[in-house]
Amino acid sequence: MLIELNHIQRLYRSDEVETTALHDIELGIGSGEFVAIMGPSGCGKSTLLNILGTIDRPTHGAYIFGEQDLTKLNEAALAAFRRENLGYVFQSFNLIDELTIEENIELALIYRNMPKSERRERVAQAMDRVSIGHRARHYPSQLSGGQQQRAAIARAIVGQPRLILADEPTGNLDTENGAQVMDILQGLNDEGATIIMVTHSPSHADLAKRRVDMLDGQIVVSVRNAI
Amino acid sequence: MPSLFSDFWRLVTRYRLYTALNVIGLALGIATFLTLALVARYELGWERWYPGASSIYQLQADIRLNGSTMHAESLTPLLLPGVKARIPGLVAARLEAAKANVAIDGSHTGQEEVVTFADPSFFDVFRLGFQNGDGDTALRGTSNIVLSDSMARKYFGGTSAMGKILTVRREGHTRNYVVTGVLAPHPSNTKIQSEFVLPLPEVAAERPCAEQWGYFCAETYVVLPHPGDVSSFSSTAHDVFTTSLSGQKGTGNFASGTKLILDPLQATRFDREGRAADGSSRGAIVALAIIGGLAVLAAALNYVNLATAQALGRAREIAVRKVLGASRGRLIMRFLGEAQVLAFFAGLLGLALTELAVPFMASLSGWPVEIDYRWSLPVLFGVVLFLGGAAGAYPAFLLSSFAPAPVLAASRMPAQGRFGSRLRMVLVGSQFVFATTVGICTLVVNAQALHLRDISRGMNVRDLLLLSTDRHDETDNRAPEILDRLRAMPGVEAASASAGWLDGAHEVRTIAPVGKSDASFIVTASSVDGGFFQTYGIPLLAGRLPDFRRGEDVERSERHQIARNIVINLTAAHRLGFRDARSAVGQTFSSGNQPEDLKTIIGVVADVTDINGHFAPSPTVYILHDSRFGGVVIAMRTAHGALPGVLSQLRTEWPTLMQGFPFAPIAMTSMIDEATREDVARGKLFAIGAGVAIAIACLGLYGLAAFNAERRMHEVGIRKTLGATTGQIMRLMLAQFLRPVLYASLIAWPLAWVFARTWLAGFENRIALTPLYFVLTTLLAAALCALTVFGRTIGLARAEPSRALRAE
Repeated sequence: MLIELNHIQRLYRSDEVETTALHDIELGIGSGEFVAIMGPSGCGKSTLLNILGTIDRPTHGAYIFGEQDLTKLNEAALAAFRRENLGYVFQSFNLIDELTIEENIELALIYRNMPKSERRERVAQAMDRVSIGHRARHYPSQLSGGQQQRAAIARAIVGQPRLILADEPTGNLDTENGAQVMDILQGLNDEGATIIMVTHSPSHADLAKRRVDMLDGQIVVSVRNAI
Repeated sequence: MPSLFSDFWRLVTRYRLYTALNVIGLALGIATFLTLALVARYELGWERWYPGASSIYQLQADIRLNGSTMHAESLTPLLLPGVKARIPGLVAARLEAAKANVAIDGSHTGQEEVVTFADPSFFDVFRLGFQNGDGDTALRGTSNIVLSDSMARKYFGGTSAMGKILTVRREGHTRNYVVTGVLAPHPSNTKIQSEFVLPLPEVAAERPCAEQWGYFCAETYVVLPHPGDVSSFSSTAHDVFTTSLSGQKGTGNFASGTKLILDPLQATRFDREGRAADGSSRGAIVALAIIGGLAVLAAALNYVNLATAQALGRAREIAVRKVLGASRGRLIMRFLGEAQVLAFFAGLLGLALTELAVPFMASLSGWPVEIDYRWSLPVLFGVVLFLGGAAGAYPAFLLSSFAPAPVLAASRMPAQGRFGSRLRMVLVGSQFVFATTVGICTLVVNAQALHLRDISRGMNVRDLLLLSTDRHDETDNRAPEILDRLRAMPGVEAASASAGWLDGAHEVRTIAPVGKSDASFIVTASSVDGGFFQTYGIPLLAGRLPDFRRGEDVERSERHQIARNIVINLTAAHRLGFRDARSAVGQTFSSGNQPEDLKTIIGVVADVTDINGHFAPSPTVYILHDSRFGGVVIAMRTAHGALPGVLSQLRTEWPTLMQGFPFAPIAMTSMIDEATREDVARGKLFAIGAGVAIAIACLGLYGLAAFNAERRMHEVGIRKTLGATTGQIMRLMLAQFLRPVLYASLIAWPLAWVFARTWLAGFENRIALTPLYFVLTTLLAAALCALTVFGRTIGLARAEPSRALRAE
């Protein structure tokens, strides 16, 4: 098992209100799986994805990745973990406006202190993989939504991560571009990548190998899709 | 208007940080400007406040003798009466200031004061206001005296001074004077001494200035109401001078070589090199005024920067206002109004800071500057209008230019793209250009001030005590007895009496290499006794010191015996053409006026630098003199650590030792401190200016770092999600801000170099302009920048990435 979530709970406290975003989540995900998480807005999908991506910490519970309990790591160790193991694709792309597409993709490798020549090679490969090479020197604002999301996927895969997290990757795209992005994700999974995707789209969820449904901060159903 | 104030208040409460930084930045700029403007006004306003000041001229002279030119601010007292005889109705007066002992009605315990002997027409030239008495009659009697209000209070307390008697003792002459006038308080920025004004004594021997054509010791002022009068007066004065001298033997060269000059009184504060007698300089005043102006400019840039940054956060508010029908013009007026209100409050705070700064600065620098509200308030009003209008204009136009649709549709605040971010960096960089330039100059000015204080003055200044820096004509005859008693005191190693030395009234002579009278030059001639060189610790470089046992070494006034053997300083030896001290010994030189009068150089001593250290040593000849100096300065060298005991014994013996003189011995080191006080004070003023400049720049940087933290929160979230550590994020943020600071240094360095080089050129003894000052300032600026940015962005860099991403 690549990932084990044991009794994960996430509370948000403000001055007067305490909100439970995740309630006693138990989830295991094997290497090479493609998991789609579904549920209505506010059910805790993105919170779960943030915890899986270590950009948020659970209030209680353990998050085991491989052999390692990530909840016990400090901030610097988590940053190193993310660098080496994770790739992200966001609904709103989250490309940095001031950097070119090439530089945005390269960013994930810069934090690994990789030599420049190797970085360039990997960036070129990643851009080719998502057919965005011809836009390398453009800024995000000069690209369409579909192109931006493909660039974001290139950035997610350029470090050859063990896990790709996608938070509604087709949410801001039209049908055609959404289908292209799903093709790419499926291709990556076919090549062995482990993918966890949050989506509102049942048809896109059906393209995953497993579907997890959430409601009010809890997992209500976890089923394997027929291939 | 009430709506403007209430909206402004809402803005203040919503954007507390930006508003506070803006108001404080503007207030600091305003306070610096006002304070330095008051200093500049004081310094540039010397003599301008006299009624009819523009019509008052001082008669001065350039004397060219045997190839050397000397400027004389005073003239012979014989000239003015001759001119007055030719120009009926001419309003003019001579002044002869001197130190004297002033006591109440015959009391023996007087105080040393500067008194001004003047023609009765003094108050026709300088129309000072009177508290009691009037200028027309106050000096008409030969025993009348006019006091300043402060002296009247000092001597007579709360009672009226009018009709009271003051006893004035000077050079062995004692005379009682009746107070016939008390002056009203007047500004202190004048060189005319009017604490005690007395008529010129009728007896020539009692006057400070000898009535001879060759004695230039009377300040002469004339009133010339019409510009056309200047040339006719000058030609008449010159005619009187040359005609009067033509009848006198041996004065031909003197008469033809003397050029009389009429300088407007207002222009006499600074000499031709721009320096004032008290060490101030026109260059320093202009520099302070420039710093004041740039401080306001830096504050304005700071406002533009912060207001622009803040404006971007208000984009949504503006978009909504526009949707609701607000026109662009109306929005511009609204934002300009806000800027004016903000500048108004900054002006109030700036005025309060000025109130605190001016007394502090006055105590620091010694400049008796006060806030004159009749001048300061209109200036403040102008500055506030300028800041509100000029600095508020760009943010107002920017704010009003937002198109509502994209702003309302976008989830993030607009950033004006790369242009906006570059503009903000250019503005911050400009502030740091100013701060770095002033910072470098401050280091240089302070290093030069310390250098002036600490340079070797060619003598041993430690443990050297002067009984007074004034000439003690009364003690002249008693000098041998006084010296014997001083030498007998425990802890005293040597004592000496000398003249033409440290008293500001050097006797000058001209000397020349033998057979080269056309190469003559002016030297300072100091009359010294046998213990002089040991007491002052002036090292002998070659030859020997003069000796009373050798008749040709000694000059004796009473026997009209002229010394043939002379000790000179190294500068004089060089001017005479000798390579070094050793080669000058045994050689001769001639008197400039009498080539046949040869002197033999028996010794060469080290150069002694003037007390304030500003000027190169002048060529000097030392003449061993018998006891009659015609005014002496008595000095004593004490054993190291013995000074307190010597002072205690001096105090005990003072009444019989220096009868009639106030107990005021002064250490040479204190004299040096006093002489370099202006330089040190100026250094401190520069330091304050630099501190404010850097503070304003850091305020701007802090505000911008805050804005940046807000703007880049989302980006930081992305970077952290991709694995960036807190350290990497901090490096990113610091690099963004350090870059403009370092670029600013590239501009500031040449600017500061030009200024510092020009500044140092005014000093003969100056420090080397090394890269240290430049590198140090840039490192300091970079460190402050890093600290400021660090304080503002560390929270962002350490935030959970998911929180940063939610900022979208």
